Amino acid sequence: MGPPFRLVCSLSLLVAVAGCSNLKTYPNTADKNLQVQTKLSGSFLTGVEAFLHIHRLKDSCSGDYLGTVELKNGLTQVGIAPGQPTYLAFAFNTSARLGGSFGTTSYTTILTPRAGGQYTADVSYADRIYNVSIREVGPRGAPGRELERRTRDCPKTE
Amino acid sequence: MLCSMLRKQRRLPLIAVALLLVGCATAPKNAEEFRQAMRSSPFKKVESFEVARPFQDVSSTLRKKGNECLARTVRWTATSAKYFNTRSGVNTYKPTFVANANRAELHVQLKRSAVVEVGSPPDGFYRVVLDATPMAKDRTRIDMYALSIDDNLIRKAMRGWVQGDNLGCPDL
Repeated sequence: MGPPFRLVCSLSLLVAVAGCSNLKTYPNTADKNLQVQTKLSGSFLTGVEAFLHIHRLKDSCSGDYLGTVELKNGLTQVGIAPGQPTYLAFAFNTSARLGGSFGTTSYTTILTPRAGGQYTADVSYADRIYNVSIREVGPRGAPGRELERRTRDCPKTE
Repeated sequence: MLCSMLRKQRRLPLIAVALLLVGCATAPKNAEEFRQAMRSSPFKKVESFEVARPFQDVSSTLRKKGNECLARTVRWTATSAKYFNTRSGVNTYKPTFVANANRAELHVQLKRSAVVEVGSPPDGFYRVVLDATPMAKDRTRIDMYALSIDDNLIRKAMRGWVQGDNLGCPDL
């Protein structure tokens, strides 16, 4: 299979994936109470992108998908409704620059922002190691405590 | 002479399969057998070092990160553009944390649906075993055993956890 054919195949796949995607842009209209600092480092052969998928939890397991924010290197400000348990899924999409393979890995947690509370998230991906840490900002902007990761309580399926 | 060589070459796959089966039949069934096997293996991946952190800190980090990062099920699909075929499988990683006042251990097993794992323990072959033991004040000794270079990513992540300088998870 020659390079032009491969290119056409890759472009067709991209168009198909984009067309089938159920992702939507998060409205991000609430007061910005989550400051996400992102550091992504791909390599010569591998690219990496990060996204934050936001869901409003209805119960301990299921929720409504509100939208997605792309996390580019640097600061991204996100507004999350206070007092509402919100399921955050930080997704790292990796792809081989020359085509052939791709993958997604996620870090998920539940955040219920306090009214007037401010939060920071440090998000990084480098050398196939990813890290997400969320902190509540303390009084006068001091770095606060790191929030424990919270998982959904979903029934086990075999 | 040529015929004899060809006949011998025809036996090579059989010999390879036989060796593989013998190897699988003696696959380590628990962490201690895995340590012994790695110590005596010519391809051994055993490393020992000390970290400047109290044993209790190292132990609690291993407990937290092992469960958070390594209790993972990875579904994969590989498509060959050349041969127009697609393969898929499920890799299930199982971390086991064991600790007492004088020792903490983190074992990692991997079960692969796409591979017939003859002689493996029920939760898959042992891939990495890490032992932490207290040394002098605020120092901890680490012994890490790994099956192959395929496990370098897990080893790198574990090294970050015990040193406390990178608490990230490996993208398995």
